[in-house]
Amino acid sequence: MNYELSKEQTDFQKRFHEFCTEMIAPRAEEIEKEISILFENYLLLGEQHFFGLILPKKFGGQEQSFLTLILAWEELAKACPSTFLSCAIGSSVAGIALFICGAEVWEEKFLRELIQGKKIGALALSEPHSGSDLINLQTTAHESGAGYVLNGRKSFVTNGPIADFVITMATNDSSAHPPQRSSFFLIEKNTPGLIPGPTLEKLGALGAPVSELAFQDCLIPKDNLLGSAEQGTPYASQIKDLLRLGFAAYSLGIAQACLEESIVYAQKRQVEGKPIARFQEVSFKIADMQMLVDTGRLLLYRAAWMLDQKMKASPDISLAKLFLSEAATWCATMAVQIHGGYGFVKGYKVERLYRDAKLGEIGAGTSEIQRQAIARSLLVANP
Amino acid sequence: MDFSFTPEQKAFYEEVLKFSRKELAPLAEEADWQAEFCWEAWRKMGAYGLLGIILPEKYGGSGADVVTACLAGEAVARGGAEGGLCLSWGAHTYLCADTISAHGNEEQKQKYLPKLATGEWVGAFGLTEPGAGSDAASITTTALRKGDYYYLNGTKMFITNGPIADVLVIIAVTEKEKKASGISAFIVEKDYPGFSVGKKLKKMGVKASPTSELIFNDCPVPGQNLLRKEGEGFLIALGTVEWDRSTLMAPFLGGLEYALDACVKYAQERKQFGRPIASFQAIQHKLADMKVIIEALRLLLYRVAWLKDQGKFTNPVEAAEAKLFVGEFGMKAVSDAVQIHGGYGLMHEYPVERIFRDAKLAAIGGGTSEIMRLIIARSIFSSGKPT
Repeated sequence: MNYELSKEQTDFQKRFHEFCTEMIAPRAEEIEKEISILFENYLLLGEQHFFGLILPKKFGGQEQSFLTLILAWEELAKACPSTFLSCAIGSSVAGIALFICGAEVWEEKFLRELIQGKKIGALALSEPHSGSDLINLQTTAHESGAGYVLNGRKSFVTNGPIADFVITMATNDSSAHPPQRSSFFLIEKNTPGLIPGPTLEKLGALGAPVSELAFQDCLIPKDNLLGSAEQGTPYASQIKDLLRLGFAAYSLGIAQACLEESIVYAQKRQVEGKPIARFQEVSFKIADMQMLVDTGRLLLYRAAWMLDQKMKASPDISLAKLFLSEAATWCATMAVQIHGGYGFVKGYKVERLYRDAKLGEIGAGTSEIQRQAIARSLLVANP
Repeated sequence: MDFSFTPEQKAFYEEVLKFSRKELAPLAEEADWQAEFCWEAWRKMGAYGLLGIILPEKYGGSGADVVTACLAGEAVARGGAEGGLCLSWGAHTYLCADTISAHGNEEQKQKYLPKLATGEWVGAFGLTEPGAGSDAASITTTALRKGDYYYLNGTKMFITNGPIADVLVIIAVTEKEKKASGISAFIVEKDYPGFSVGKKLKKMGVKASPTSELIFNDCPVPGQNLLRKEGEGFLIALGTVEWDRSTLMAPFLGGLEYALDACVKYAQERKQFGRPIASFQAIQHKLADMKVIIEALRLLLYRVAWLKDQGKFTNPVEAAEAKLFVGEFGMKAVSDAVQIHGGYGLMHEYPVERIFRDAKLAAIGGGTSEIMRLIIARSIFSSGKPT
């Protein structure tokens, strides 16, 4: 048992924290209006070896542990949730997905440059009528001559408008039993029949472009089937876990940012001649934020550690994501409250964090779905 | 980072769990109903080595580390032992016996620890007074030195094991003007003249743990029963209450796990509208929430235990966070546990009913949630964090 990070890990955390504070955080407001900042951040993060942290060295990755990945994710999410959504949950996880599905053939074309931050990936899973229910996908992939023809629509694709390649899940054998029906496919940008929708106008994480993607008789080569046709479900399970881990880190970063903003403001703002930090209504909210952040962090670190130990971690990832996403929403609400009127005004970080936070309770499985997953793990274990 | 327990720790946990299920759980319902201390359970725990678990082997203890001690506390409660038994154990072993072990001189340790280790003597710790709870430094019980004795005058309140204690560590004021630095700690024996026990208090929960006022009326305490030096009593007490925020919380974790076990079983057996209620989302939602609370509490508790074992425990924030969490979230979990059981959850024969009543203590005893928030806030605002 050991509740401390290694010296190597704390050194890495410190260096990455400094990078994020200096290079990413200062433009976290501006990025909501200026997408060029996001592209600059991709290159900056590529230089920091961010995208390939856990990927093999032979592709240019760092072969670090999941715990180290989480340390980096937490810092980036705190500095700029929009950048984190696009770069980590969007592109990085797409890169890891490519690797999970057996990426050797795509190494030269995409993976190496993705790791450098020079190419952007996207995962297209949800559909307009299939969000929580990923088993009943409607996007089809039929064998046709030298390839597959894709038809269907995907909703809420992070990086949809900017991706160099998209990894999608489609049904290629509708006669099979539901979980075995689907496989993963890779589609390159500009493939005829791949039609990105307009960038969606969202509540939060405005700096991360998200859109629908339509496939209209989109023909892709046979090689673009990722892995083998029967492996859709195990891949989906691993990718789902990664996305949930990502949103847990997203929420932790936001909650930590809310805590830090509140601490600063509470010491500056005065009422009756003293800082509002001296009033229990304020200081006790901050204490609760600290408790929630520290507790959620432990849950997330443990989930990452379990992955490093090659343990079955799905329910524990769900647990961390559920706790942290609801904690982040609460922290963001309290942070706005502590800022009073200013919390309601653009230009104050907490206004944006309040809008950014909500996504954590929805993306990669709503809180309702996370509770279902956790409950199933209890009921199946005790039939 | 490493969240694992060793195979030995896991085996130990399983053994204690088995012991509790077999020997302690069957005694729980009646003990709580009668609000009577269960001597039979106490003696069994003593024979099993639990009452002296962290005391040095030299004095008859088991010499266990804090992580192991927490595993024992968790297992005893998870097995279904009554909450008051766990509380009495906690006050006896950690608040009383360990204080003597940590701060006593050789003579004091030789005299008191062996019989406390076996449970032949019962220990208690007296800090809180009718007018001094959260504001512990404002206690008014005095200890005036006259010749070879200190004469204690005053009243203590809410003292766990008060009615049955043979040995009590009492915190009293030796020099009023020095405030916290004028407070000292003493070992008191129940037979000293001028010491009496107020009536046993009737409580909401942890009912089989006897609680009372203590009354000191010119009670003579031998000079050699002073712990350490005069003026060090408040620091001693602060160290003692750290246990309230670590090992004494382990039974809350075990109790929540026991409750969740009961809920999973009940929800699968209870049928309404033609199906087990476990198939309704409203019930699944509560089970999931209970599980989240349990896993979070586990990490918070063992982090504190691990820090104590590393000797790193100079920062009270981790302990305050753990206690704040169990106090606030624990109530939600036990409330859901009763709710899942419906009408049966209100009936005494269903253990969740008493676990619900027991749980409220977590937010109050050993430091209220408000004090925990104060500790955390103070640490934040004086730590030079971002300005």
